[in-house]
Amino acid sequence: MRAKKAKSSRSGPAVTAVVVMRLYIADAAPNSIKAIANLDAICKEHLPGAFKLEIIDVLEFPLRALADGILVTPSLAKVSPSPAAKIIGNLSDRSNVLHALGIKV
Amino acid sequence: MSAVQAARVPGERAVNGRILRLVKSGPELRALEAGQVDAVLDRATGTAHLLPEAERALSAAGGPIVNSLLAALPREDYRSLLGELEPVTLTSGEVLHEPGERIRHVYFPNDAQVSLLIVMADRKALEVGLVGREGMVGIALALRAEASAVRVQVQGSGSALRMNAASFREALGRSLPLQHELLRYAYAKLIQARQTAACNRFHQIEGRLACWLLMTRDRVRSDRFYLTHEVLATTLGIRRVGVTNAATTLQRRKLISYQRGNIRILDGKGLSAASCGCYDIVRNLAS
Amino acid sequence: MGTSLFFALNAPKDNRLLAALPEEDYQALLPLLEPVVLPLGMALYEAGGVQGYVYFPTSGIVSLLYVLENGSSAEIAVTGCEGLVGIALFMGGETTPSRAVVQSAGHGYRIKAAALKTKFEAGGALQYLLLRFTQALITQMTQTAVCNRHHAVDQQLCRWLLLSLDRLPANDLVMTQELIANMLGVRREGVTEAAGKLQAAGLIEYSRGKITVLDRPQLEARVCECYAVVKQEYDRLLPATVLESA
Repeated sequence: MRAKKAKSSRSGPAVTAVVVMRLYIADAAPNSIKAIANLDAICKEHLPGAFKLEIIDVLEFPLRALADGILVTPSLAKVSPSPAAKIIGNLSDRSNVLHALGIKV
Repeated sequence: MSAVQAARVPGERAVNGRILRLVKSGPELRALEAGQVDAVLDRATGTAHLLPEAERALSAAGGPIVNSLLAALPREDYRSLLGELEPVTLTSGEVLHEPGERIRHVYFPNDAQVSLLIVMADRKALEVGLVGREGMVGIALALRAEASAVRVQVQGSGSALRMNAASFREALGRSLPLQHELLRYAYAKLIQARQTAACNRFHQIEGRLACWLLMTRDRVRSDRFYLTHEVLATTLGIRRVGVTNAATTLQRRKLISYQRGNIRILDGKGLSAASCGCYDIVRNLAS
Repeated sequence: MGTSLFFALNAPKDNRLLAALPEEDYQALLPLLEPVVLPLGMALYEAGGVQGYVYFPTSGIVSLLYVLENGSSAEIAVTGCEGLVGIALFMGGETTPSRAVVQSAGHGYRIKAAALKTKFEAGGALQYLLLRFTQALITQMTQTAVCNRHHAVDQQLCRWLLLSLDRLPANDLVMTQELIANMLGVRREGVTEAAGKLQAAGLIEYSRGKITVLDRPQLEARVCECYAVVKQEYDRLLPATVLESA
């Protein structure tokens, strides 16, 4: 089984740029679960229809994570639009996450 | 650099030195110190190391997912539910929901067994369904009904995962696989209700007994189990002598042996043929 | 497709589920709906049938029957203009488990099961209504199970009569004792006896195959609680589904 692409959220009006992200987690460990929940809430509120998210389980694909420059999980990597960014931790500091993703509130 | 505590539990050991060596500075270290890290990657070995707390949490939750509906979901969808699923212990006799009440929680049993009961005008309660690890309690919510006409009562103590109604509705909206899984389950419930209606109408005691024995075998996963005539009489809603007669017939046909409550299924296929048809239909849907 | 005269006899919005759809959704469905006549006794599905259509009755009623190998049958649920017949086709699989027979003649619309399934899976109001109808149907079937086990034949007859009449405009029903016996899954003698009791109590008149309700309130007083449970569930879950009793 490969790392699967999560579906982008359902239809919304076309926004300026689609935010492409990768979330690196460790299966169902507590911080990973929190990160998923927090990111889900952020995407629903701030990026409806305007994001692409890939979730990678480092327990399954450690080499992939290492190749992507990931050291700890959970980690969120913003791939595009530039600049690239990385947020470490369970994403509970929402303003921090929004800032890194380039989302203005 | 302070020694990093893996957990705030008193007496916990610090995160082991190896992990500390892998994470030297920067945001990674800060996150580690804040307790927001589950695992660390080791370039030298190409592997991931779980922090003790994460390891503990995974092995506690760990192993195969017990509830079949949840286990059937793509792992990603299951993970997105985990934040809202609360492990609970259900105690035999506990009433989780009364007829007509708004549904507050849905339950995915692990080893708990939950009865669905219709409460009659004369206050007698009739079991119309039994839910275990193969299903969920609160399917009405998935069918967009807010309340349900059954009493939900725990029959066999055990563990389950519980989610509140609002979170469940949200999860349903988010996850297409969950919608599909629950729709299939709802249909299975419909077929079960239909089957019970027919079964109760045509009232073949022998067939119903055979059916019940097969369903029990599946539930306890053994060809041998213990069930007195008394208990069977109550479950099937018939007189004890009816059970005795029906059991004798099944024994004579060499389908079961039944001595002092000790039941052994000798011929599963034959018993299935002798059953009232409910068993095959319900079983095919549950798979 | 129908002429305007036919439409007057058989308007799609006479089916309450269709009428409850937002206008846009209704218009999108309309081209897929084909008017049909539902004559008394017509089997919409046989058990295990692979028919490809789902039906929305606009008048008349359809019984879902469980048929045994030996040919005996019993009604598990009744559906009229408040719902649809054939949910198995978009919820479960390609075959229908029950035999569906027109118990009181009428009209309706049919739609290809595959087409309805596509619309259903798109979500929205249609999905919402069909899911709630499913819940109501499950409740009816469950209550039938309970009723079959615990209540006397004359009460079961009352229940069946009241649920059927709730779905019909008039106060009477054309039905032979033989057919009623098939509905209730009892022997014909049982029906004669039960009907006799109700007639003796002045609740119904039953002659020449026609049952007329004479005293509806008393009938509702006599019936087991199963009738009220089912009625309340349908009222609660579905939009304005129950016709005014005459």
